[in-house]
Amino acid sequence: MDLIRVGLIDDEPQTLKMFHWEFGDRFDVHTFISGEEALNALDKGLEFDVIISDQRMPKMAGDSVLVEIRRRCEHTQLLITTAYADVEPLRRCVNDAGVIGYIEKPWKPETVVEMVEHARANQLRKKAEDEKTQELVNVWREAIIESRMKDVRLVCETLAIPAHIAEKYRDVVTKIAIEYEAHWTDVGLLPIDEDDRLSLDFLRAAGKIKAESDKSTRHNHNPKIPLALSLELITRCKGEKGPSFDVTREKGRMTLNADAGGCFGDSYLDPLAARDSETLFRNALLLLALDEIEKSCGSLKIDQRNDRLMGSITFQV
Amino acid sequence: MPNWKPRIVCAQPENNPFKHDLSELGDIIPFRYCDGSILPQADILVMIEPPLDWLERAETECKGEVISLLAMSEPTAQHIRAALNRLDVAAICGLDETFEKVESLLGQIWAEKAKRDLFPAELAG
Repeated sequence: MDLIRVGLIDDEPQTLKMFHWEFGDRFDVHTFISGEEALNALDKGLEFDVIISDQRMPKMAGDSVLVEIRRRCEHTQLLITTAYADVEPLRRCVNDAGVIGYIEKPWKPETVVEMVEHARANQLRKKAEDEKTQELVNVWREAIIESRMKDVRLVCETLAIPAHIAEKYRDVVTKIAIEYEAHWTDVGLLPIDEDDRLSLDFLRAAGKIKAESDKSTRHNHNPKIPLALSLELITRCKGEKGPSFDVTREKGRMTLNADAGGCFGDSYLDPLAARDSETLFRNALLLLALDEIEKSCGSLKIDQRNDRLMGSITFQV
Repeated sequence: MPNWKPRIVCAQPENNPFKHDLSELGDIIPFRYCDGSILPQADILVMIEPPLDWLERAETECKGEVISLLAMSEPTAQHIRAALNRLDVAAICGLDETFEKVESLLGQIWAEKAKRDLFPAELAG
């Protein structure tokens, strides 16, 4: 088992040395001569299970240090140690820093060990419960995604889009959409009747685009337009830059490359995503664009670094 | 959770009863320091002006599950040490701030209860 990572802050070099000497074998000990030094270490990424701070120190007193540490590290367990009976700082330590123990100076080694181990047990218990809760939240999130995927499959069936396009949509949208991390307070956020309305709105949005797209294709007699059109429409609401197109010609072939430029936005599948008509419209467009791209034998590439959609179609000329 | 009411153990001195009424915040279980040092089960434990010697021997069977509040006009460092180390006190306040403090701690309890009601079987035990 890993050693408990313990930080001690005290302005007495002798105390720091003694702490190292006494507990260096038992804990993973780091010592700091001032609160500022400890905060710098935390800012540089050093992590602790337990931090013990002396109260009376020049410049930054223990209560202020611990309040600052609490702001930076939610899960680190904090202890205060002092030889003095200053009540106000102790009150602040409890109320504002969530200190869970008070070690009187001069400390007895067995008290320090007992309190550090108690603090660590406390931390592990909370961590285990947080992990369990997050696991349950993830199960809930997956269930919503599955339910939304049923809507997408239904849209495909209704609009005569091949069933595998729904899976392709899932794959693409998972890569390009903003992903929100769910918290347990989000569970059950969307009432069932609103969820039903949402799936109907998604179906309506897809139906409307499909009807418009069919009309435009008939008028222009150009079945290649929908890719460019779709890519433009998908991002025109959100993207900072508009889409760009370039054409390359080789012997007997012409390739149209499209770079949608902007960020895609929210996914229809994500339970925490926006539910406005713009989001539904963009997601429905993506679904239909994937169908169009496949029909045109084009390909859709995703630049994951920038959440960008890039597509290309090659024509025989 | 419309019918759920938190259990609030209000521990107080027998000769100087607490004048603020907390009953609108939950079911109050009165406890006097002369009743002993074993505290009844509760969601919130409010200790009003506890004597130091009582704090040093007080025990609760639901340690870790109860949220404790120390309400004192003039706490000493020793009171704070005993309340913190023995009873995991979550907050310290003056007597006149007790109602507001209990109300704010209740927020934590409601949140915890809401979480457990959301995943009853999975988070049990």
